[in-house]
Amino acid sequence: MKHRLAALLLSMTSLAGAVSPASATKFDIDPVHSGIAFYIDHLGFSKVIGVAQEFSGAFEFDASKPEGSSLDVKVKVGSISTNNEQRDGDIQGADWFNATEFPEITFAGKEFKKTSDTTGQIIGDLTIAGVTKSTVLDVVFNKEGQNPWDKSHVVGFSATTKVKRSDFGMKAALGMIGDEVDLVIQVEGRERQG
Amino acid sequence: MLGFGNSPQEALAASLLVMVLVGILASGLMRWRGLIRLTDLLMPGALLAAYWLVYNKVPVFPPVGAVNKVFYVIAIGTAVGFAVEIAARRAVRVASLFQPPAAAFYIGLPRLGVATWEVVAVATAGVAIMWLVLRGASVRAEDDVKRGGVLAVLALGFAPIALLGASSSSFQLCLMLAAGCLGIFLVHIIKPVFRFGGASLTGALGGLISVACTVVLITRKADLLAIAILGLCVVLPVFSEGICRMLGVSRQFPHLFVHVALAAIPAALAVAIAFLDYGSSFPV
Repeated sequence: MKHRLAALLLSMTSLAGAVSPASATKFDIDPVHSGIAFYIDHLGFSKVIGVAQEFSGAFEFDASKPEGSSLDVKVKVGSISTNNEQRDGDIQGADWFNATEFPEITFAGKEFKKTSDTTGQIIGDLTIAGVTKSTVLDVVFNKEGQNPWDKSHVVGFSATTKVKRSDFGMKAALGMIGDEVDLVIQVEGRERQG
Repeated sequence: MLGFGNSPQEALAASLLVMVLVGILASGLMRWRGLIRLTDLLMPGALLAAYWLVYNKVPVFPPVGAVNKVFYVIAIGTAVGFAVEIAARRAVRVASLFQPPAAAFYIGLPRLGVATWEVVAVATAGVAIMWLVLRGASVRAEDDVKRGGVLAVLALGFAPIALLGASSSSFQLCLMLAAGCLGIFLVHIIKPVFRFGGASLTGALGGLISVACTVVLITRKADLLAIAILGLCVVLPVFSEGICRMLGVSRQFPHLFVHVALAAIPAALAVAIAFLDYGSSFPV
């Protein structure tokens, strides 16, 4: 009797495993091969380029079912560089990123849409300086496969979006420095082990 | 703010002009209608108007971040100060001395535990400034104009220090407050009927202290030596009576001029030091 019950339970567990959807793979963002850059207008003459040097994050992704993905990213505000020490110090202040009170910028993906075989959109909550706004990332799926060097499972994306800094309370020097900020993101995710 | 002009400089100049004109108009109307008690609201009103011109918004409540907190520090300070002024004038001194530490701890909350001594130092400096402005306070309108004049000089002196301390918004805010004060006091230079009471103390002076708290505690790039020297703006005018006596000056306007000029000396020195210490190209 005992053996029959165990066999029944075992068969039920197997069945449940068979009908449940395949879980998405978990990836950690590889900071060495990823990057976050932004472009912001200066008096209409040029676009100043800034980069975030320290960031981290993870995502879940299944190419056959991208709608079930997840994404969480954190950027260290203190690591933002625009190639000018003076300006980099200034933008940490209360008029801009307010690094003292809000040392991190975060993005949490909420909705994942496939728009073609290689493109999609991620709608998520972008939080800068304590203000959260829904933001749409236009994403290009680059490649998924094995890294020939270390045989790790890697997936890569490119993403772009535009945000208005004034939406996040950053209104300093509007008119001299653009309101609209172009964000360009390159992400390489490495499958989490264990 | 930029809606006023074709360039940031034009926009700022236009905003300053608007502040002067509105100051004259509001102050003039109150004087004409004999609303002396309400003149206490003019300076904090100017600061709130300046805030709106700079940030183009009334921040949501509860405020997120120091810049937004400043608005509510000014607004609540004005309301509380005016209520105390009306209901219990003797309590104005207590309410005014309570304001700087309250503002410093509220705005400097993220620094508590990390650099608590900085918050305590800023709170103490704020109390000292408030106490020196309150010192010898009387109900004479000419003394109230003098105190208002010192506040305007403080704002004018702090503006470039804030700009060099990476806060262009605080620069604009302080300049606009000073411009508003200029408009307000143009009406009261001769035979003043002006009240610098609870609302002016906790709303305007307290508000200016909260702006300084933001620059010093949150942005943390301000020239502390320049700010310390700027603080002398509230010390030097103590000698104005003696200097006027020595010079044989007895009329009201020269008295006011000497008082404000004494406040302006450390302000000018502080600005010069801030520029000299900056050691880099001007942030444009």
